[in-house]
Amino acid sequence: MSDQPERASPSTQAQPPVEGLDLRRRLAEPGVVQRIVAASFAWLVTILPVAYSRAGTGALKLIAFLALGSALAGPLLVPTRPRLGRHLGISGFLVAAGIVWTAGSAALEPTRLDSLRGGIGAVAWGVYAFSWGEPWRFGAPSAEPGGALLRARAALPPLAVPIAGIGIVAGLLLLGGAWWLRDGTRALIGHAAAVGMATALVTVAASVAIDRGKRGSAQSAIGPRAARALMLLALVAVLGVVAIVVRR
Amino acid sequence: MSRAVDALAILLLVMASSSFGFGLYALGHQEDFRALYLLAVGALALRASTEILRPRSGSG
Repeated sequence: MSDQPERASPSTQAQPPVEGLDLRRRLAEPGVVQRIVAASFAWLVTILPVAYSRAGTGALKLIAFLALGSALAGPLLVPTRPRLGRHLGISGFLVAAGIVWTAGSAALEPTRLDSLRGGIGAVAWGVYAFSWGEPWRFGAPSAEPGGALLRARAALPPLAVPIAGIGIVAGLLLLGGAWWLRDGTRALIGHAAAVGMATALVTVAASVAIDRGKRGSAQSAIGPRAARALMLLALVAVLGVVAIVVRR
Repeated sequence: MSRAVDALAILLLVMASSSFGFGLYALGHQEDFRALYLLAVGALALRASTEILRPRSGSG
């Protein structure tokens, strides 16, 4: 890593690195607080308990706190040193977490795992991953002096955010719900299915949220492909109900 | 008509979410056939939800 400020990664190109930001300004940068909070929560729920379990040695506790330091320092460095910040906040944190989990694996045996804490931990790591996905921008983007403010070419259809929210919440509930499966084989299948279902739900919810209103009045009727999909759905639904009734 | 199609797409999305949830619940109660059925219904509902919003000009 060089001492010079690095070029911003694609996700941070909108805000070029700035030298010499104080702590308050660093915390005000988009995404910094969110990344710190998400990583700290994941650390509290899934790493700290392992380090302080019976399997936890002094070295393990030290690595756990190094993970926390890495998770806190990474986001703070992103505004000035994006690459170093991402390596610390993502790579460093994940490597340290992996070492703690591997060395303290006795504390992670399925019989000793609390399903509620496991569910919260899964959600916490999901939020952590989302927090590093794209810069968080709550405020209006500031225009460069003399430059024209970039405007979106189209507005979102009404109810786009709640519809996308339904998909995200349902996906998170599915991921959490998989932790309630007790039977070993079914739990494994349930987790795999929950990940797939959550991904599909979020993707389709986003698609439904933004695709509404794109159809013109001439295209308002349901097309042949959609009709086939609806008929297949109805057929499977009816056949399934019949099969369930017959099997009783 | 366009609003009805939009509403149907949202309804299918909610139906898919519920179907997945009940499927996972059925899996937890060792009702494998019911779980498989509900997961299939959810997947088909999701597919139908996207298909009915797709512009007809691109359909084959």
